[in-house]
Amino acid sequence: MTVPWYQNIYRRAVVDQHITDVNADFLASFDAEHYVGMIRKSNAQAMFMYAQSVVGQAFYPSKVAPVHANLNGRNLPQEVIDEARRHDLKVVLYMSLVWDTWACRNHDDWKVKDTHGRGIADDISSTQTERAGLCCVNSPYREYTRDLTREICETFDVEGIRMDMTFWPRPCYCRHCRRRFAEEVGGEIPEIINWEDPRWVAFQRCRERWMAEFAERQTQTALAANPNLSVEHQASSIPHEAGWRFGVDSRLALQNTYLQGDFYGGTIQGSLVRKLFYNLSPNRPVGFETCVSISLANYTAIKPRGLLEAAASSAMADGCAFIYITSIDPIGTLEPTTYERMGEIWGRTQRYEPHMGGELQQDVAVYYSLNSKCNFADNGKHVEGPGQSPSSPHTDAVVGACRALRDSHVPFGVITDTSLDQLSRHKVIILPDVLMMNEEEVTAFRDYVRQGGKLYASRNTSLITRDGHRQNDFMLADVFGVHFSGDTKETFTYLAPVEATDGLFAPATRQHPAGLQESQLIVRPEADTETLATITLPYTVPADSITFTSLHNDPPGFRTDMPGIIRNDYGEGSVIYVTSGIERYEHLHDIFLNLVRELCDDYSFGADAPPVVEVTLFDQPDRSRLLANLVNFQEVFPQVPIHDARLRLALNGRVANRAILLPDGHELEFTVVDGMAEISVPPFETFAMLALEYA
Amino acid sequence: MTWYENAWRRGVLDMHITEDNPRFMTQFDPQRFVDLMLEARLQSVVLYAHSHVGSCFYPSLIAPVHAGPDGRDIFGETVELCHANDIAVVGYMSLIYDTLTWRKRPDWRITHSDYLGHSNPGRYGVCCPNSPYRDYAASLATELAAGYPLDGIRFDMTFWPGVCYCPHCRQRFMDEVGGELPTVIDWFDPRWTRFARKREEWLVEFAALCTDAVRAVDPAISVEHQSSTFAHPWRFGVTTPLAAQTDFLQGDFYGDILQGSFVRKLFHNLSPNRPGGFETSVSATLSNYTALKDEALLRCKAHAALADGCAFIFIDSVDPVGTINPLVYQRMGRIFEETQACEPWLGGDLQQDVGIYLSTRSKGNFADNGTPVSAAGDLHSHAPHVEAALGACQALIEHNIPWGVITCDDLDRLDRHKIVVLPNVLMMDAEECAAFREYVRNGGRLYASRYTSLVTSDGHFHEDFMLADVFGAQFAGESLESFTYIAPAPGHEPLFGEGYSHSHPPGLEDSQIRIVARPEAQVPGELVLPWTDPADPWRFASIHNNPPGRYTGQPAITHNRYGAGQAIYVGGDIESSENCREVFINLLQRLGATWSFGSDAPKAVEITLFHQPEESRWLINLINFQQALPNIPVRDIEVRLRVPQQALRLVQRPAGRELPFERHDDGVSFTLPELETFAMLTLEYE
Repeated sequence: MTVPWYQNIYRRAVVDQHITDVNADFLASFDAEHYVGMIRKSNAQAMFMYAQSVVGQAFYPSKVAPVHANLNGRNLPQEVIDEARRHDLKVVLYMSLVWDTWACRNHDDWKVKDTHGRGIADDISSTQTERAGLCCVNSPYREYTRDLTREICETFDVEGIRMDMTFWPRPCYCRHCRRRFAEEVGGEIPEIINWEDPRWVAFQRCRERWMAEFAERQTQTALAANPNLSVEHQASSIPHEAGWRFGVDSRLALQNTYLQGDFYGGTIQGSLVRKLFYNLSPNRPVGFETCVSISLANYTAIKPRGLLEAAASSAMADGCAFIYITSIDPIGTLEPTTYERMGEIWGRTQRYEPHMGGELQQDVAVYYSLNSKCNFADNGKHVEGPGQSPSSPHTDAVVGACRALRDSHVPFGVITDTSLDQLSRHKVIILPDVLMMNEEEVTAFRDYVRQGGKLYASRNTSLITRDGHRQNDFMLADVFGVHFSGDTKETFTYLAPVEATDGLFAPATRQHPAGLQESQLIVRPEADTETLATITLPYTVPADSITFTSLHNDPPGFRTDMPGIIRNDYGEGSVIYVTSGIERYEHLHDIFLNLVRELCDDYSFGADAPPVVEVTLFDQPDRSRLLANLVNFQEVFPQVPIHDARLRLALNGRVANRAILLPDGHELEFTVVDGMAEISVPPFETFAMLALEYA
Repeated sequence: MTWYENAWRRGVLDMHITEDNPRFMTQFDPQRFVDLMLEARLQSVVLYAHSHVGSCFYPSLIAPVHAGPDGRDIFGETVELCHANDIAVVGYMSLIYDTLTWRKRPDWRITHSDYLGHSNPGRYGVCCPNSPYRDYAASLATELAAGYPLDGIRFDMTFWPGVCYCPHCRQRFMDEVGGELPTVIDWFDPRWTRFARKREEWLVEFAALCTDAVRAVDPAISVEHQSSTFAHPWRFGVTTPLAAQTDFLQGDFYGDILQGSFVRKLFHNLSPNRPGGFETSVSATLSNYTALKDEALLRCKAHAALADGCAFIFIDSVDPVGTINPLVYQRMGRIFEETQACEPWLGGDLQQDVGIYLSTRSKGNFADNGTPVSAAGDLHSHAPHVEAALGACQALIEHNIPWGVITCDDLDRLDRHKIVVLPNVLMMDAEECAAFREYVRNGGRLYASRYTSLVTSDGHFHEDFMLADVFGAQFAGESLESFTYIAPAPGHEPLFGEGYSHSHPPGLEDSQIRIVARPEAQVPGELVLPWTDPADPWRFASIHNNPPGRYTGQPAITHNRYGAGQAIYVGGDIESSENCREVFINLLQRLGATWSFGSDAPKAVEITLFHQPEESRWLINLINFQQALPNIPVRDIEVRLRVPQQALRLVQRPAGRELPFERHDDGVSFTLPELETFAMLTLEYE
């Protein structure tokens, strides 16, 4: 069987080429030999060459799209492909979907429209207003992109095609969307956000389905032209902070050969999305992409060497390809320093590649519902009105849970509804304030617990269906052991330990309980449940500005017997349900972790290392070994080296033969204590890879 | 010796408790309070006499008395018990923020610019210091000072919470300036600027009224006004003259590591007496007081204060019923046990080779010009000058260069500094210009950027820099483009560091001042503009950015010799941009100074150096304060000190362990084997 081109390709390069032709010099100095020379200098194995850009112009003599005016008959992708072939470089061609300035400026009817029928400019960055044109995938634009895709895929002999920007920049109210909504749902598209209004939710589900359908048409068009192509759609939109607005859920993932996306957030974002992609991607390795410059807007400012190396190492630690993004100069040249820097970094990291692979150990799975990226606090607000919540409580809770687990070196993964048939892989599943759930999810989680699984769930989980129907009780009430009966009116509340759980809450106590800036759900526990914490309310209602207790805060005043955390045994398994999203709050992470450990304290690895060091573990049964990665990723560069890290790997009945430091194979001493092999990790600055060989 | 001179460990117990529940403050136990303060090893406490709520914890005849203690004078009892246990007591009194008075006296309220809405309805009632409230506050201060044997009085909240348009302010402006209060921000409009200056002046006058009220009763009582606002934006109306109304500067801060370092350096120079006080909450936030900060974080903050020769003050909150969380005091007791051991070696003069100039009259933003005050929101929170000053400090910390923060109070001692940095100083008056000119003429080195010396403190935009002769540059306008570049001139590429070149110059997310270099000035950098105007959405070069395209041939940087000194002027405030820090540092290096110390310590480590000539020694502090805690220990830090004396002994304090060092012609060098959070060393000399 042929190995897909991407399978062992961990070093990939993107050179952004969203260059207009407003100046005759633009792209006039493009030279394929220089271009490919720079890519080679960076030690990349694959490159993404622009066939067409967000500007909308093609860089080859297209018969479908407008051609960049300065080409003078040249075919830049083909020149690059020819040059790349001489050096055994893989080539993926880039095209932009939805974002197409030319199409937007020339086809008013294709534009994404607001509720007043006006075309909407990109507002993601206010400095770029009107630069990017946004086209609706329900308009005839879809036929245009189909033709363009077909032309590109039939014209060029490459490894793959990358379709960027396959998401809704915002809700569209163009006539095409209106007509389609009327046909499929009936009536007008609602303009008021309300996640408990089935009509509004129906609109959102249409958007998700329409986008997945558009992606599928594009994918099928590409594969019809060349079935050997890999196909990608921009995947960073799946966990994007824009949340529901992008209209992307797990169905988009199915239209990809593998998931790859560009990210510009902090270390936890990277860790989370790579683990999400790991489970969601149809194939591996997935790709983690980021720019070499400090931002896309300031492309001459290159990130510090240490930061780029940490980012590349993090991708490696999650078994991921790393993709750098640079920008071409408008005249068509590339700056050598950038590629030299990446070449230096990849020169070091590529030595680890032969050792990568295996199954990521994800004892704890954090469930990310891609249909819950909304916020009930927005209910009643106009879709284009001010004051909309910038984030989703579910996403925040997912991020918080992952951060807590990562920082304390608990093996974790991120799963979605595509993993419901493999829940039994995990020792614990976290349902972090999952705002919306369907029957399939409910059944899967119930069965998981019944068969011995451990579940942590918080707040609204299983209270509202995926189509926007609020239930009278949790759909998982039997599993949680509690019944929904309301919501505290206080928006700053506390969780206090009971006598038996003081140790779980330290330094919080019953007199000084743990505070959180949200209300809590009021629940009625079943008789055979165990209450681990109760709700304490402030003396006064925080919203009351006339009667209050203390100027700066809302101190705890009324200890109630309302349960705040409940433990329940169900079938062969057990559950902890929390009436608030404590995993969202960094100061409550110790409590969250203590609760997770109450459910299970037997993990594939443990580590004594600072929180900035992330540990991942892969089982490689074909090589009879465990592969452990440690990445030191601080916020300031150069980093302070790590000297005294210790790693504990669970043997699970296997016999450890040898521990080695990779890639050099230096043997390391280890001891076995309580079924765990303990290894002192030699000092490292950014990355350490160790293997424990077993019999 | 005054009480505060050796009081490094201080505490505040917030008591902004209402009477909305009969149980509130009924369980406050002075003995328990003092026991906990002792457990925390406190040398002084800030004790609430009067809170933001407006009620008193002593039997006031002027202000409402809190009903909780039911007639007991819990304030007086606590003062007595503290003194019996050698704990100094600073009585706390809230100014301007007074909810009960605000509710009772509508005519005293701070009022919005629409003359209708009163600010801060609800919990926080704010009173105008131009209203009769001023007399109320002063008489309350007198009553408090006269009523108890206090060591000090702390006046909190001596700032303008907003821009007030109450009848008292309007009348006063009419009397002193004439006409109505302007309602549109315009820093180039002398009338608006006059209003800003009046607000600053009125606030200082109010502070003086309160300070004088205390000093009239007992000049031995120390007086403090909340000092966290000196670097806050213009709307707070706080400028350096306020400092003269306090005996020492102390303020509470909730920002990042840089903020702490910056304000402590500011206090070191601006405070009438030392030590200054750095204050922060033990809780994660004031609004979530049961959530305690990690002990590692508190340890770092306390030691960082020590490293700057500052007292550390923690803030806790009383429970509404009057009880106190003992865990806080146990935690702080452990931390203060560590810092206490270092106290015997504190003191001396901070070595500040580079003086960063903070102009407290330049905390506006020219980008706000034309905006109504009523459009407020966060509009006024962006202060380019302060941000440039902070950026400069961050660069200096990261490069282990000794620095300090100076203000107009330091104009007569600029020669202490090898370099003075004027970071986009938006407004300047003739006295400042004269001082800087003299400094350079006499051999000083000056770095200045962007608007520095272009606009006077009273809002007049000059045709040329007032320091044009010093800069070697003449003002020639401002670039239209809001994203610009500075490219190295031929032969000056090394100044721009690795990664930048003539074809890929560093970009600034802002416009630049266009200049013409005087013939005698060198021009190490050239102004480069993007291919297209970033504001033009229709004609652009690249979707995501504005690449450099038009090489203007005009200078962006001048390096000029003036008198016995030299100056570098930059048309953009590169010190504000993280991506230009190397260029900024290289420009300072170009000025040719040698630093009192140098080190290879990582960026998370800050080094401070104090000279203690009376002890014949140098004090060297290293603080490791990483973003993520607990700290990762740093090993083998090389430190080089340039000191003229013959070194005798290098000792790590408080352990007393001698460290080996190497002598050089101009000083010594040594290796610190490991640094977890804090290291204090003394270098004794003959």
